Amino acid sequence: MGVSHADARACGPLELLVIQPTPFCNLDCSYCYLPDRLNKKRMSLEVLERVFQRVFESDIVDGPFTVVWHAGEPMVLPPAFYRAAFDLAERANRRRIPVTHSFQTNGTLLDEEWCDLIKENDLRVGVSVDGPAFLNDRHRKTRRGAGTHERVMAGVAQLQRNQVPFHVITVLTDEALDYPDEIYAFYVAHGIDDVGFNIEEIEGPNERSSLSAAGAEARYRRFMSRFFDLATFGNLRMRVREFESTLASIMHDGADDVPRTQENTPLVILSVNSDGDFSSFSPELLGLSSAAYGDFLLGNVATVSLRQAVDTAGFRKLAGDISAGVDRCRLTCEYFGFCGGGAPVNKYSENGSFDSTETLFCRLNRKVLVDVILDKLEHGVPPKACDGSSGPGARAASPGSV
Amino acid sequence: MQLRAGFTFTVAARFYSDRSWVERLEINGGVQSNLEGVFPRQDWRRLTSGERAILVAEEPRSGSAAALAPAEVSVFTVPEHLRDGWWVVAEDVGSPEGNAAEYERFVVATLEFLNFKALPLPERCRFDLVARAPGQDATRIDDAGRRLGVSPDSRSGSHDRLVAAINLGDELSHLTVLNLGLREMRAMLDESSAEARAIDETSRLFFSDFPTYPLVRVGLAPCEGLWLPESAIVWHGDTRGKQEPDIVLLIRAEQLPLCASTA
Repeated sequence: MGVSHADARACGPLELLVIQPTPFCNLDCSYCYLPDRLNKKRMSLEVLERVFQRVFESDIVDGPFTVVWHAGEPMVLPPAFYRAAFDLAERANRRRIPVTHSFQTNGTLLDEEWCDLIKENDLRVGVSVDGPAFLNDRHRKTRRGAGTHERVMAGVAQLQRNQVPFHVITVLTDEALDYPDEIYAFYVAHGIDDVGFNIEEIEGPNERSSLSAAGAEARYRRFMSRFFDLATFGNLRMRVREFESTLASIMHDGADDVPRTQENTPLVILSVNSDGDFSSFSPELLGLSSAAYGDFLLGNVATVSLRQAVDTAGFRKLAGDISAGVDRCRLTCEYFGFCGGGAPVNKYSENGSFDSTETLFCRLNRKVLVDVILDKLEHGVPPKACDGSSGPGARAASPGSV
Repeated sequence: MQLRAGFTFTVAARFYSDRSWVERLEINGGVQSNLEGVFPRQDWRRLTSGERAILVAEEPRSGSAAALAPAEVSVFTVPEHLRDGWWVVAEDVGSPEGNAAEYERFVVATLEFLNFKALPLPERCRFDLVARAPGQDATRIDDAGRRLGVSPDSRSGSHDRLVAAINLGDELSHLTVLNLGLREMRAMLDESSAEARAIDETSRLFFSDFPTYPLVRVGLAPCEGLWLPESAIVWHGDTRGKQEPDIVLLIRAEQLPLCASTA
């Protein structure tokens, strides 16, 4: 549910805290939405301490949440940084709220020391790889334009040798849509059974998507249908985030008559950059520039509490416009019950306004997937085969692959 | 004798191969004849750059609109999990009924894959799994049980055109083809359309008149296949140099007899 102009205090509870330890990334993937990837500044421990203090003192934390270290390659900072970070989080967490720390990494910097840190702290790890080398290396490159597949898979092998569980995020571009079997075969060959598919989104500096091309939607539908069959009935059963979450949205039987989404509700997601500036709603808004919305920043942890941040005209405008877009979706879209109103950053990036409706992202990542899963159910595939999770929006929103 | 333009080799649209054409293609010095027929000479060598330019078409295409051109011999790859499906059949030495059901599952899975890739499957087709011992100089046998040399895929009086061949074994397999179709052979034989002969006879005359015209040998790694042009192609198979049995799935187009009874 969105927040109206009148009720800016309907915020949280916090489910996802996205922290940008550094904007820097050692890779230069062509479709990346992050705007400042060459900037090597890093979050100081003082700022980090203030982040955790602000979060735990606020009234938006009343249950478990996940901290995602992201929005730059988190592993360019050493494990020692994170040991100190986890210690700061624990000291601020007086109510002993369960907190899961999660890394979304390009995998190129994984080594034994990282594996030790991951195991000691029970971290969740997501590795970004776009399937076999011939697909991965088209877009996921070093700054010199070289492919990265070999290095990523060395990182994956490192995790597997250390028996560290992980999931994979694969970005689908137009070229990938011809290759569901090859992508599945790649996962099977490397023992990868927990995957998520991001689409190449129009966001930030990525102003075009190959998936906007004529015919791409139909091909995406065929890809997803085929991959569903492979993942469900193939040699290696796979957990696919998109199928799980879509089935959950179809089977949702919550008390409310509309599903809620993390990205549309203020302070369910809190994103903090390396300077301590913070935003909410879609994590990808952090770092985008906007004259109308003050670069989407709600404040800085040094000077502003989370509650103070939402009690401003700037926040009310942002929240009100996002809420208006959700209302517009509710009135016009037959898929609203499976979706809850779309992702604000995609509306802003594609349509130029939060107060808008359909996007490429929602056509592919919501509508097509709902159609595919419904088709499978109608053809007799039992819901259990789709392995749904506990409800729509229950999985943490993916801020995109690194 | 020099290669002439005819069929070209390519990687099929919506497929990818990381093997180079240098690795994959060889040519020889033509054919040698014996009482059984004409067979490829064994003086295989790598292509020159000029020969590669004649034989190899442009980069593979993607997207739903890309299609195989009529005069292309296209390399494609089936995923390992499909090949594994065949070996489940091969290793199931239980009841014939169980084996047949597994084989049908394998064929259906292969068809679904080929359909997804939008390969031009004929309306009716037949899947023949052919296993040949290593070390044979010919793998094709005619109806009388005689070895067939280099000859057209369509047997006289038969309509089952060879559509594709897929290597399901564990070693490299080879198919040898003449890169010229019926039209090119007739042009070289200086035949007018009024004299048009069936392809069987035309290919015999061709090899008689041009025994040193090079043949092209295509190496197929495990899981690789060759999709053949719709017009008849002259080809040969052998298992020379292999240590393991040669396991090839042949897909043939079937046509119903003209007077098929539906009763």
